[in-house]
Amino acid sequence: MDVHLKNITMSFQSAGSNVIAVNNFSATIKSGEMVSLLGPSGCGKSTTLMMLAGLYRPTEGQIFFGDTDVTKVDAEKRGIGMVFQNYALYPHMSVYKNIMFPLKMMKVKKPEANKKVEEVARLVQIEHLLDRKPAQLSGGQQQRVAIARALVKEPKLLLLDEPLSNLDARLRLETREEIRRIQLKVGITAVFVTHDQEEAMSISDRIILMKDGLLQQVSPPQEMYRRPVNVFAAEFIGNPPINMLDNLPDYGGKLVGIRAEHFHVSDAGMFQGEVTHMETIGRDTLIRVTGANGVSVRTFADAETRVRLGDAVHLSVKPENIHVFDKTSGERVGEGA
Amino acid sequence: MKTINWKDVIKKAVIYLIVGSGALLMIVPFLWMLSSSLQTSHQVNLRPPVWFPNPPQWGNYQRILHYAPYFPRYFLNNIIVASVGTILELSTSILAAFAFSRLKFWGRDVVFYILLATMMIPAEIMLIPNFLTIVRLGWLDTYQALIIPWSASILSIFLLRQFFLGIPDSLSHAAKVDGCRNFRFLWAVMVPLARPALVTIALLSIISSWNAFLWPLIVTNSHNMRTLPLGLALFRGEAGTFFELLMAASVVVVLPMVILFVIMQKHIVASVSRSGLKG
Amino acid sequence: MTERRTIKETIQAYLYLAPALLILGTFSIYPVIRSLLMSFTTVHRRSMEVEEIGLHNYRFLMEDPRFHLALRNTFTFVLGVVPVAIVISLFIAVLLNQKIRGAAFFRSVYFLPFVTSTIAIAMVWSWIFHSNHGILNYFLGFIGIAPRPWIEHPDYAMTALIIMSIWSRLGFNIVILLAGLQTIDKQLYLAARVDGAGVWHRFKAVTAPLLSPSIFFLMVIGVIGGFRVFGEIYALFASGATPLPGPANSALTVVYYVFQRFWDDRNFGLATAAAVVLFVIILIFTLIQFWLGKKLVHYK
Repeated sequence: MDVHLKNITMSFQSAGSNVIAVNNFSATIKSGEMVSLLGPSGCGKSTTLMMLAGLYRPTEGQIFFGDTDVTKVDAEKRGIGMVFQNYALYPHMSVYKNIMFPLKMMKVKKPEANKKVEEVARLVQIEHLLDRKPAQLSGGQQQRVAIARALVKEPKLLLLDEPLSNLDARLRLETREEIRRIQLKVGITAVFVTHDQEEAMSISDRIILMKDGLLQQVSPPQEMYRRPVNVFAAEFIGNPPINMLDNLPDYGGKLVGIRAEHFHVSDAGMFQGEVTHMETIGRDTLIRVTGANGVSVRTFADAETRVRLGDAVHLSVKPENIHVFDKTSGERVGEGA
Repeated sequence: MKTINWKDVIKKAVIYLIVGSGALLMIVPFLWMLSSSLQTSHQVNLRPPVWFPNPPQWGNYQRILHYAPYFPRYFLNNIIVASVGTILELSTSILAAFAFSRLKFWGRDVVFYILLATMMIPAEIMLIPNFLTIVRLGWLDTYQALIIPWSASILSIFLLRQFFLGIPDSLSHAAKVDGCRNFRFLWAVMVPLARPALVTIALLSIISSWNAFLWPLIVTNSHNMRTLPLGLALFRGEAGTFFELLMAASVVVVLPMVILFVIMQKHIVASVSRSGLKG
Repeated sequence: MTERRTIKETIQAYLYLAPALLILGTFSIYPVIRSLLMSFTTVHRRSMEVEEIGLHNYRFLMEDPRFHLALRNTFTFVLGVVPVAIVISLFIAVLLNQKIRGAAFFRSVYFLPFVTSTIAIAMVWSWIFHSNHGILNYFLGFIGIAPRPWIEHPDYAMTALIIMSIWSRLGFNIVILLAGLQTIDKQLYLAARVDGAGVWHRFKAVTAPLLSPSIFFLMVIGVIGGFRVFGEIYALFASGATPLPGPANSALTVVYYVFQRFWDDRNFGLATAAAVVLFVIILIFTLIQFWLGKKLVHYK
């Protein structure tokens, strides 16, 4: 089932003034794909998710599930599953009862419901935890229960609201692979809200990037990395952050973005300077090179090219890896030459 | 090796002495009530007092009936009024607190603040108009008169609203997505979660309704409708000179609440610290 | 962030509120207004006709020596009970807070009167106070104090009432104060100790200011409760079947006055007027306390 958002606007009354959380937003989520809604906090991604869920009603615009206009349909009638940031498990019910709850609301017959609960528990690998209360589970386990509860009624659309943000780093990695595995196995259309670009890059088929309630870019992760459409997209994606350079000789009046990994230490190159900082993280060595005018860039040094602090180095870069942006609009205008 | 700190020992001893003699002063009236209730008419007047009557005169409790045959009825009335009243108070509070904490509607804050302001007004000022209302409704000397005026409490609504506000929004969102509307959500999720607050409300309601005096005094006039404290006050006229019977009747009034207190001690103390108000 | 209020949700909300609002409206809000109006009227006993008489009831109260007596007695009672009960309970609460074994047990013992019917309390105390056979006089005899007619003589009646009321209020105060004490950070005491403060100075510098909100709360609640005293008096001084506000009206309080005017005299207008006066007094006292509280109470 494709999901269409058409010219969605959402405004709130907050402390007397009108706040526009989502501004004329349109996008399509294709059947069976996993789409991330990515952006800094306050960009409107969670509000968008709430509108998809039917928990908020858009001020303007329409939402379609397939051909059906669901804009005015209540959450409980949309046939969606949702996973919340704090899991929102019912604390007084056992895991089993938590997962059973949506089926009970749908008045599914007991034997069939039991079968479904067991199936989904197996899918997320929590069969052994069914008798416990949520408080007796670890964060990762609670997360699985929340996913099971969302999936048990076989929704047409799965919504995940920052589901990994309450987990520690190691578990986050593990759980996100798990979520992707389950999503692919069930083949469900899913929308994943996150502020973590790495998470979005790793898990999704496509990313919808938002800022201040406005859509910035929609594209597969690699393309967003390779061809950011504006300065914001370029700076938000990638770690370490992209080097933004102003007033380079050949690019007067333009902003130039070059990712750290695209610079190479060589004998000659477009950028020269002194190595002013080095740190080794695992197999990579991150160096900072400061030019004569005080402008510095980050890049990686190969293990072979034995760079040392204080060395004067040249950095080269392939033209296709130079992103050129208009200084006033911030829009992409092309690549390097 | 541990050395004995004499200063600490003396300090502890003094504390125990003071706190202990205070506690003794608190408990003696209760013990004296119990002891007197088990003495003969002759023993109660003996000095030095008899603390452990032997044999205990359990028959005194039966003799209450001789002077006040309606005493069991009073007891039954108390149980009916306290239990029905508490169930009603819980229901009205749950519904109202849900609206105040979870629904968005016109006039919410105005209504809420009017109720809060009313909480400051002493109940005595409402006594006479309420009596007239009961007369006009034809409820004089009925259970309705004893129960209905007290079946909603602003304090309870307020306490429960605070508790409901502490339940995260995402839980109600989750329930909505799971296909559960307001009323169902209230019963299936909010009410079980609010058990501590509901226990507080129930305990305070039971205690204040069990011991209520002035209101039952003015709205009842037959033996059939009187409650225990009222019956006890009247009993003084019926068996006034027999202090062992008066004390036995007092024990009957006090004992159920003391038992409730012994069982629910922690809850009751916590409830009072939380709400800080009686009746 | 708030969502818009809808008509549908408003209707729904008032359906949820309906039972509570119906009862509270009928029995808590309407009677307040009705009382104010009634206090300017008199109801003729035979015809039940209501007549507007303006301030007459209030003027009568101003000149009624019984009402003056009731006011005096009520003030005596409040002044006698509230401060003493707070001081004693503060003392006990601080001691109970010293990590002693059985503190919870002691607290429960002190608290027992809270769950007890005031009528039953008055009943056992009237037996304890009994001039001939009461154990109080018996025990006082040990320390050379002659027996006193505690509840039979006007000179002692108020004292007896105050003693009983302090006794029955201690537990509530202690529970509230202990709850307040438990919120005080223990490190503050250590810090004060390091700074060289003794027991008294630690109490003055740490306990008292940080506990002042609880003490203030107890004062407000205590004063309001004190002005409303009734059941204890009704049962403590009764002679036979006849309730009595103490010998020679020595324990006639305002609520008792209201009760007598309403119940015995069936003078509804005058009784409500007295109740309104009581309400105004409580209001003034509460406002004064809040005004003082603002200056003295330390809120975090």
